[in-house]
Amino acid sequence: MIPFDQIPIEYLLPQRPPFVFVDHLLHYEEAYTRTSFRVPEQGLFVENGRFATGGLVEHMAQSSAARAGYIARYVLHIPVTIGYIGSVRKLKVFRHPQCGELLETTVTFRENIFGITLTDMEVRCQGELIATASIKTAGSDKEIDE
Amino acid sequence: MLKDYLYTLEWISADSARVRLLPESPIYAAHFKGMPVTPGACLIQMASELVGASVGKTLDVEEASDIRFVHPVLPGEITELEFQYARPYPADQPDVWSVHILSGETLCARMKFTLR
Repeated sequence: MIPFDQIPIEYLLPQRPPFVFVDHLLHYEEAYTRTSFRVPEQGLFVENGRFATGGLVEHMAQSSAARAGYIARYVLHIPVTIGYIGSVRKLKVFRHPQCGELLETTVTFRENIFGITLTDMEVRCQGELIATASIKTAGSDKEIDE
Repeated sequence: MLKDYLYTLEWISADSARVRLLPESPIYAAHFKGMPVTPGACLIQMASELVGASVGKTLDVEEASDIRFVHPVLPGEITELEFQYARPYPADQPDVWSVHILSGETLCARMKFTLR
């Protein structure tokens, strides 16, 4: 069994650079998944040395997508498909991370109803809680062209 | 941040703005390859950029009670978006904004958030 953090992220996510905002899956179990992302020095959503809220939301949504991708590829052995954000609720950004900071995000699975997955997100930097949200993502049956 | 990378500004006023999406943006090649769709996170960032531009400040979302994406913004079908924004509680909570994102008559997303 390949360790979680050695799985290339493109095996789990349908997004491609420059729109990838998860570096690694750190842990998977059905109820509880963790991911990591280091804020780059420059790139999309990075301005004046800090990572904007849009980037944090995309990082959270892709953390949920990495969970779904792991289930597809390594649990169900089916292709990874694309998904979309349906809603973001109860978003709180306590502070914006700076370039170079490592985000570690916990995805707590709440429910899946008709292909809509509800997850609660907690984003931390060195243990400090910096952002939370409840995110609904909608799956699809579409695979990306490789 | 996303202006002139994902969209260009057609016009902006105190309560609305119209943008033209750039289908050649690298974002569409990455999200998703062969099936471009405007990322919801980008629509949130565009909303805070446009509201910020309308009041002459750089603003970002600090809190959001409810953000909903109700119609996909596919660059092959939708070339322009209108953002309509207002302060629902100007006296008590002047940082709270309500934003509706429309393509013609079609509502694509609505959001209520705190900008600072």
